[in-house]
Amino acid sequence: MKLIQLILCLVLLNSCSHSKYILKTEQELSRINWETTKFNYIPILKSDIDKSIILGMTNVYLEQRQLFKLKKYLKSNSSNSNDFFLAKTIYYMYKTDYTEAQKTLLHINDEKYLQIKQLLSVDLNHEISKENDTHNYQQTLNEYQYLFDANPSNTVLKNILLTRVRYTRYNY
Amino acid sequence: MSDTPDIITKMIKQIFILLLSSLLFISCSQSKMLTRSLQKSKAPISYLHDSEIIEFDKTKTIALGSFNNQIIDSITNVTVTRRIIIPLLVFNYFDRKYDISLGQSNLDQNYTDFFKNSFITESHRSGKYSLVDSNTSDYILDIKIDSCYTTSKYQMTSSSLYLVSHVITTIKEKGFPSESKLVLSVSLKSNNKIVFEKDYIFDKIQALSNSRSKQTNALRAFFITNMVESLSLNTKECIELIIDDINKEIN
Repeated sequence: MKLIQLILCLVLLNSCSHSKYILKTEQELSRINWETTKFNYIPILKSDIDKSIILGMTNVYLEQRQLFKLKKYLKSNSSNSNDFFLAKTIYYMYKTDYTEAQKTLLHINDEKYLQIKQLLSVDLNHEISKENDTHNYQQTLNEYQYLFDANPSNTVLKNILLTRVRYTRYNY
Repeated sequence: MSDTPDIITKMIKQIFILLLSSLLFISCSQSKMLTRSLQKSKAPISYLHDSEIIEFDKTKTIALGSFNNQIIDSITNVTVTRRIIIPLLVFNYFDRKYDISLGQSNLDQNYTDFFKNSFITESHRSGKYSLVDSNTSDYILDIKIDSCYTTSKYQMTSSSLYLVSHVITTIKEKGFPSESKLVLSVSLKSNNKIVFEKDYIFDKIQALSNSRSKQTNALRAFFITNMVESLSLNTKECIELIIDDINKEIN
């Protein structure tokens, strides 16, 4: 039984470490070397993590790569809050279950999460269309372009989007 | 009896020639396969426009004049630059290095159209002028791309060890960073007088982060995408600088 648990943990740890999307606070993102990074970062404000227990715990579990514990935590702390749906969307993205992530994302309607919702929406559309072999680079690029033009002074978002376009180009 | 050593020497020579020619044949066929495989990959060339959008100072008008077509080769060329073959009967070693020159066939859209469309899009964003179609514009802009090359190197090494009834073969492939070079001349005319003329040379080396891969097809596709990315980003820098120069000239 212990062996099975160990194998399960290893599998979960492995799936977590290979997640293409990484949650980072904007503070942490300011220290990223954007020229060499291979990850797609999900930006979140430090203040949002500090104010929300559920987002804070999600961040801790993801940093420790404990997807299984995060799943249990989200199950026992289920609610209808925007923070919960954001945490759950990110959890599904780490699990590479993009269809579930997209369904969960639709429940977020708080204005303060509008930018992250738009970003994740484009990411998820791209991932799902890739799974269905219907991906369209130009369409994804146009959606990222729209997001950039809506927030032209946000340099962190600019770097995130340039990395996303690079990722999309190589996963065409 | 005295003929025996001669016959043996002749036989060894014949075997050696046969072996060498068969190895050469294998080497040539692998080069052809590589060429076909690289030519098959397609990668997107469009990029994210991240320049500042200028909404004022657009009183001057510019019309696009001549623009040359067929700038890059139609297909990607693969040329062998180094070929090392070590035939030792039970152990054979090949090492081939290729020069790759990117062709239109690997791009998801026509390069000239892409350049023109990107120039128009960027002009609408960061140009301190309005791009118009009419001949009554304040200026006419001619862009002549003299050359556009994107090159890189690719290496294939393989070794085969013959053990009685078994053959152990290892194949390794490696891609190198790509370099895009764009040479063009721009002239801006007003009332048939040249008001601005400049020759540009743009060079961009694009690092290849995943230069070795266990999966050959994935590496080759990644390698071609890197070349296309190099051309794409070089074109982006080129267009942004031309528009910046025009902005300075007309304002």
